Amino acid sequence: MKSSVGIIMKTALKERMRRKELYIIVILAILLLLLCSSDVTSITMNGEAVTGFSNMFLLMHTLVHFVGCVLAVVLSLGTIPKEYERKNSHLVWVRNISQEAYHGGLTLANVCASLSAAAILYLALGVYAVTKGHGEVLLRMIPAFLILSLSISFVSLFVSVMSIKLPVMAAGILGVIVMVFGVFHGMIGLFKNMLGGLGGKCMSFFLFLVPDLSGIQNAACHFATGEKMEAHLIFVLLFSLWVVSLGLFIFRKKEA
Amino acid sequence: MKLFKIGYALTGFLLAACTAFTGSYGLSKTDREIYRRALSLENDMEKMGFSEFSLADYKVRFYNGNCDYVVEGENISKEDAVLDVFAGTVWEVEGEYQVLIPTYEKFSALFDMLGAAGTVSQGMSEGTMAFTEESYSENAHVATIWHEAFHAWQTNRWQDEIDALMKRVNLSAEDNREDIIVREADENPKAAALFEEEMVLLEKAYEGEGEEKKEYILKALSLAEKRREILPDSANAMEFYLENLEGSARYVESLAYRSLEGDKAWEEHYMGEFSYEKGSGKYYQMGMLKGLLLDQTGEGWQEKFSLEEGFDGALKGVCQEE
Repeated sequence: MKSSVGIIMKTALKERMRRKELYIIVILAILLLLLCSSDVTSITMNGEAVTGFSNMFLLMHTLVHFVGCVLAVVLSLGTIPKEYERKNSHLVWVRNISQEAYHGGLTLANVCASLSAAAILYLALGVYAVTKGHGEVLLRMIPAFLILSLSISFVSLFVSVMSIKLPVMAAGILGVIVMVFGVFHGMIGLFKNMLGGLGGKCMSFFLFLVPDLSGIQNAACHFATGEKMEAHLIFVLLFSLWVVSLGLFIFRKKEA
Repeated sequence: MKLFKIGYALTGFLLAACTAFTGSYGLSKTDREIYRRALSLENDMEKMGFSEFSLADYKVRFYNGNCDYVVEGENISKEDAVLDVFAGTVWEVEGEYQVLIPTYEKFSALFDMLGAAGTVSQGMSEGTMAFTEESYSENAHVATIWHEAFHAWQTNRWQDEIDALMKRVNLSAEDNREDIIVREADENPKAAALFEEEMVLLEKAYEGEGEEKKEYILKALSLAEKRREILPDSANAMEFYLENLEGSARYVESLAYRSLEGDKAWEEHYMGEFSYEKGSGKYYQMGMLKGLLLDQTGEGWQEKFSLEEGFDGALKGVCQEE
């Protein structure tokens, strides 16, 4: 089973890497990062310029996380249904490979492709840190990326698993909703408390279901900059990954 | 495959256990410390006056975004959120008024968000907020608890008078006080100019000594009287409410902060230069300033303070006595 998952993953990953969306978004994000880091552009909050390495690093870290999650949706959405459309699945069934292994392999390829794209963006962030004379964060950025990768993996895994059962459009919408609630978890949490009423209750429900990806992003950023971080969020996300991965065993494609 | 499934299930259990084990439950240490610090001010605040007012008489509900942690002395209990929104206010729960306040962590996060949206800057310039998001400290949270607890005390003591005041001018709880102030007071240039003049005179009185102080106060009070003549009843009632109830709560809040942070920080946050802004914030500031003037001129004024005469009546009385 292990080897069949590996072969499926490798083949699927090669295909993901050929997708132009990946490169377009990565290039755009790097351009944006470079633009943000240049002295020409200034980002303002309350009319005041956000300056200083720690502020800019936090801002760019948030941006990398957000783009990473968007890429995870784009790269993971529709890949499994497409395999079935192209009847590639039949080539797998004749080799007596189970649906779980097949879906698992394809999902792992989605996760790896998303993480590769995020790694490129993270590398650009590392370059920014070095150019600003903060090379000391580079080493800490490696485990920080591992923390951040949990969040991106979650989005990719969720979209992949949902696309097994739901039509592509529905899986995409659900994926985007989960991503938005996760990436802006903290902000939406505060907003629902200001909102109150039925709207606030609905938001509370979604926030309960969706893990706090913004918290993970903060934890990764804190780790990179040598600040204290909360381990609880990491365990929550690992557990969420485990729960969503159950879908790989539960959901089955009818066409198979 | 069987081994894989067992390993997979075990991983799930292990992760669930780690999640449960690392989670923090209950009211945070920070909030407990904030409440303890607020209670520790009882003696200092007793010297301030309002001898019947004690924070210990009111339960404080710390809202963490999901539920309330109700604190009374050493006891902390978890209860359903009574309001389920972020607000610093008082609320009647089972027949008693309780202080509702977000946990410090949530309040700070809220401040950060409001700061990013520019709301804090706006609140600062209007005077409804005494702190920037950077300067909102644990001690500022302590002061906010005192502010809200004082509202609980006011409500217990003066609810009938407040209702009568609002009823007299046909205002109900649904009427938005900001709308009334902006529409009826701020949009009247003459009233706005008189308010500014009054505030300048009060500030001079605060800095002044002896007879000079008294003169400034009386001049300021005569301007207040002129304002009342040109404003509609509803605006007068709302101004009276804000100046006397919110102003006195701001006065209590500022003294709690002063007690913890000292004179310099107190001056920085509460005695900044006045500039006229639309909305209700300026009445907080004016009421607080009148309270401080009464501290200088009429010792023990707190014990006699009533909603019948308000700050203006008390100041007038003090000046005439002299």
